[in-house]
Amino acid sequence: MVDVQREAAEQRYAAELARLSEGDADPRPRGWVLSPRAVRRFVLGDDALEVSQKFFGDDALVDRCIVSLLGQQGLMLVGEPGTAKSLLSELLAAGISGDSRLVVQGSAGVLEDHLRYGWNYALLLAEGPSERALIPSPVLSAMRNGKIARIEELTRCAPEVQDAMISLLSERTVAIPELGAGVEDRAALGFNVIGTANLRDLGVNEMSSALKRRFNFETVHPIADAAFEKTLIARQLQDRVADHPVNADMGDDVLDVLVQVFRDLRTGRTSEGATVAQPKSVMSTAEAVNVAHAATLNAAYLDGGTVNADHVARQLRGVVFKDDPEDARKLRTYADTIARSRGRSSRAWATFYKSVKDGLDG
Amino acid sequence: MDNPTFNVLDGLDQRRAGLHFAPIRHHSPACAWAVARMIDEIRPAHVLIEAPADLERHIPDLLDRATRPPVAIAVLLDRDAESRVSAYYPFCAHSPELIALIHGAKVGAKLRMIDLPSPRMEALHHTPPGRIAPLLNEKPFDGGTYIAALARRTGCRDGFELWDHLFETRLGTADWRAFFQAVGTYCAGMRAAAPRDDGAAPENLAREAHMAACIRTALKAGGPVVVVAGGFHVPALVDPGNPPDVPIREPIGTAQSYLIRYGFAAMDALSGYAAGLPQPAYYDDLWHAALARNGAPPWSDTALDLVSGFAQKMRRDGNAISLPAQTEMLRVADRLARMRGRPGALRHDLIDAALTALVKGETSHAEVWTERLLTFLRGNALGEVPPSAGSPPLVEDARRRAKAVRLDISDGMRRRRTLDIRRKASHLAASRFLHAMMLLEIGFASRDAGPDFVNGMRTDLLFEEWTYAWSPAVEARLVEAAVLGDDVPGACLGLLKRLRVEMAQTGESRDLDLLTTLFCRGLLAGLGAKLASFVATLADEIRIHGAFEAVAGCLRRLQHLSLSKGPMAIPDILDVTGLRDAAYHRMVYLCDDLPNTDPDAIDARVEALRMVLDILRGPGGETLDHTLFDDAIDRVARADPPPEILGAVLAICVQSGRQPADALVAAMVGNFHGSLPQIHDRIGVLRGLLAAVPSLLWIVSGLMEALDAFLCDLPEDDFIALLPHLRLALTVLNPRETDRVAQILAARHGGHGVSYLAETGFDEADLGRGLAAEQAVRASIAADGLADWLLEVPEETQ
Repeated sequence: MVDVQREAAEQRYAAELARLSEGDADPRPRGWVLSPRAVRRFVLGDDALEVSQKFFGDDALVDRCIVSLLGQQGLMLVGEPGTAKSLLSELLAAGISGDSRLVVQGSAGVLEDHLRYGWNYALLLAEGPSERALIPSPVLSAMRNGKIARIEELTRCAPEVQDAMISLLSERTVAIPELGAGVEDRAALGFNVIGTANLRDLGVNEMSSALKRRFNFETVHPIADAAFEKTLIARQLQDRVADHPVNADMGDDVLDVLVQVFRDLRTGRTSEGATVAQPKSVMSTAEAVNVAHAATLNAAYLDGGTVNADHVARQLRGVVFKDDPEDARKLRTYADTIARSRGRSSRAWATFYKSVKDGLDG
Repeated sequence: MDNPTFNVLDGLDQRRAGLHFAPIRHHSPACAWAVARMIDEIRPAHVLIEAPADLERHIPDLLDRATRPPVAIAVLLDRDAESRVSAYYPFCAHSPELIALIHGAKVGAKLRMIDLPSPRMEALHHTPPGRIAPLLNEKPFDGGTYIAALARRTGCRDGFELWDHLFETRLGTADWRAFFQAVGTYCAGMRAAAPRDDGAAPENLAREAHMAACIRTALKAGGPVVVVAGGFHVPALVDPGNPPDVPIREPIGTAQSYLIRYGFAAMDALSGYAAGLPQPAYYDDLWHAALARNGAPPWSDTALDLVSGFAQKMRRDGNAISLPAQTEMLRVADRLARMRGRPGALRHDLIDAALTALVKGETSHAEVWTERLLTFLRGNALGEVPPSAGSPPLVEDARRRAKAVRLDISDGMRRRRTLDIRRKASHLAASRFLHAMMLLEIGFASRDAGPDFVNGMRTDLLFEEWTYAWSPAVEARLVEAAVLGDDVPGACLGLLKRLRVEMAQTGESRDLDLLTTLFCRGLLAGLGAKLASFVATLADEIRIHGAFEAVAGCLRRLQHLSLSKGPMAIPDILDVTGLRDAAYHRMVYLCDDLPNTDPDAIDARVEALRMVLDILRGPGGETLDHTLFDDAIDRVARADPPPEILGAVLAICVQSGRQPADALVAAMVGNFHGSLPQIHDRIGVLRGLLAAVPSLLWIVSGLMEALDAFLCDLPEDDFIALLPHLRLALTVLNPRETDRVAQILAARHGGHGVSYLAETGFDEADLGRGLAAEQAVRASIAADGLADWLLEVPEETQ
């Protein structure tokens, strides 16, 4: 048995789901494995049942998502990359249907078949169209079983493929004429769709207004509270390095530098109110965790010591400021104006400043 | 005292002592409901409410049949002759305090206001002059560790949602005792967890000591006594026999107060200062729904009414919401409320539902539908007060003045009025009043046409056209402006003073142009002699100002003012001529900075030099001492200034005969042939000359010749590069002058000016050759079979 890198949410949190289900006295909509309130507790945590909090920053958003999925509208999660849209979609599917694996990964290569059904051509040729030869898409499976279907990055699909979603969401049925006149699969109670989309990225397709009307939109914002973001990054970093047999500590001052740099560059404004040129690169919390993770591993495996701001700066250059010269210029300006002055009163900032300068100019 | 909560709860309903407390939150309908039930049942001898004691005299007007909330008691506190602050104590239909007064009056109770008199209130002492002081402070309801922990546990996002979730859901309850016990517990927890600065702040202790003393007096006079007070204070009042020993501030200044009409919009703005629940129209709807039902409001009907009311409003505003979206909004609100354990959709559920159902796409933090819904839930209702309530002196004064100048303010109609300001004194008086009201920015009047004396535009016009309307909103704004003064001129002066302070704070106090504009507006508003102190400030600023061009600009406006008659006539007492002289002297002093002019400021300064020349030559210029300026200019000319400045000052000197014309020619030629990196730098002297005294170009012999020779010798590339700069420099000439220059130059080259303007070497034979060539081309195209494509005009363009 091989250890998988990442289990599905319903497997990872199977014990929590079982506890929630056991103590769930609230009314449960038909087709749902938990009541709406229990789903909320699954996502936002419940100390009494030892259910961990998995999504942070906006409780009311979670309420709205759950209520959207109770109705006839699909749920569309939008927002900057790295704001945990996919995580939220997975958690909601796991909580509501006990199954987060009915996923279509949106891309330019997705065809309408991926949203409806396809065929096992060997069987099709041998037997003709039959239920056995039919390969249901994750969406059709979700309809048949009354579960939540997830469509990741819907706007990356071609417009005509997106259009297929319109009738699926309004009629809630898939006709299969190949199996005979009038054969169709009507959605069982509990079926709904969660989409995630990035509306601002380059290379995405605009959603038609007909499709937009069939979704309730929820914007997932970056975490507003700086202190909370710091705690969250520290916690997630701990989880990630737990799998590694090494010891590496990221000091509080270094973590501060990391969080501040990300926040300053993301919002275009420092906590003191100075304006900062925003890079095009994604400066999300998730990306901050990636940088912290990489910096920690770098220090632990290669430098054999504690993580310092130099590691952070190096990863930041490599991971975030990949090869856009304009972004590099913005980082240099940030180092010259903000990091340098902070460096006068903080060693970590001074290290960060030096490392950025050396890296960019050297 | 181990657990303060239990003591507070025991103390809320002291039947034996005849003392009953209603801990409330301001503008909470649920509290108002419970207060009404409480008073009806207890039938107290005294009803005491937390409001400044000196406002008690307004109780009869508050209870008058003609009073229709929202209303407010406006307090104007004069700390001294120079510093006035205002404060508002608002009442809406669902204010627990107003309900307590109404029900108290019904059962024949004595009604008292028991808070510190307003002149002793700390808040009114700290507020900067001309500002609104917060009288109700409910900050603890929205923050603090207790509220944060409770909000987290109940899944609420802030203190407002938590309050609604816990208490507004109980609106219409008959069990007022249980309700106040719950509020009491909440407030005791809040107070116990409050930082020491809040709970034990001297301000709070002083107010509580005063309230406790009033309670004791009422108890002595005979119970039962009902006390309606902010929940935060009640824990300190339940044992009134044991008040804290705190010093109470001596009153500073005198307070006047008035019962005024108030609006939901203003109430909502006050809630920004943590004074009661926001969005009053929403709570007003809940309150009336509860009254209609005589119990809990029918929550789902109320939500339906709100959503459809909002949709109707949006349709009227051109932002229609489709029916499916309305249905979805209602569904989401209802399901959110159920999931959150509420009997029906509350304010936050509706706001959430709008976000989910109406927004299609990504949102920013300032989302337009949320803003629209919040504005709708805020409402725009305006109250009414009985005539006996009177109004602040400023409102009375404005009304009196409007009537005196025969402006019809009997209703809210928008009217037009044409004023013959130069010939009729009464019209001039009306104009001054309207300008004053415009200065105060209260939305009473707007000037549609007429002379613009402030900016010096069309000052020859005889008539002004105005539109005006006296609306409740105007009255409300006037009440707000009452903090500036008791009559219209006084308020205008107060406003000018405040603007000056603000200019100093934002670093604009040196802005002579703005100061002069304010001075002009003051003159238009008829402030006249009252502007003496403003003149003094302006003079001080002029005397220390450091920018030549700014002082020259100011000098020009002051020159205009000192000569003006009619609406801008200066009263004798204002020494504007002295002010003008001060500007002139300062300008002369600053001339010595001209040689060191920064490249960016050169154009402005050359323009300013021309302006000074105009002033000296223009009407009234003879009263200024020309020799001062002449000497200064001579010094500048000798001090090697930048070429543009040199050109301008030499032109001025040559024109007045103090320098020979040769000097100007020599300077220009020297500049033409200078060793300068940019070609356009070589016409600096010419530009300065043209900007200051253009006519010298053709009057002074040798100038035109030098220019012509320079241009003729210029290589073609340099000429092309120079051309735009030359054109810019020559734009100062008017068409006649341009023509004149053209004539002279053409004559030098043996032609006539017009001969260069149009091509004339074109005769009949040329036309014939042209037509023949066209024929040949057409024939060739037709021979190639391209006629349909190249020669035929397409049908749709015919």
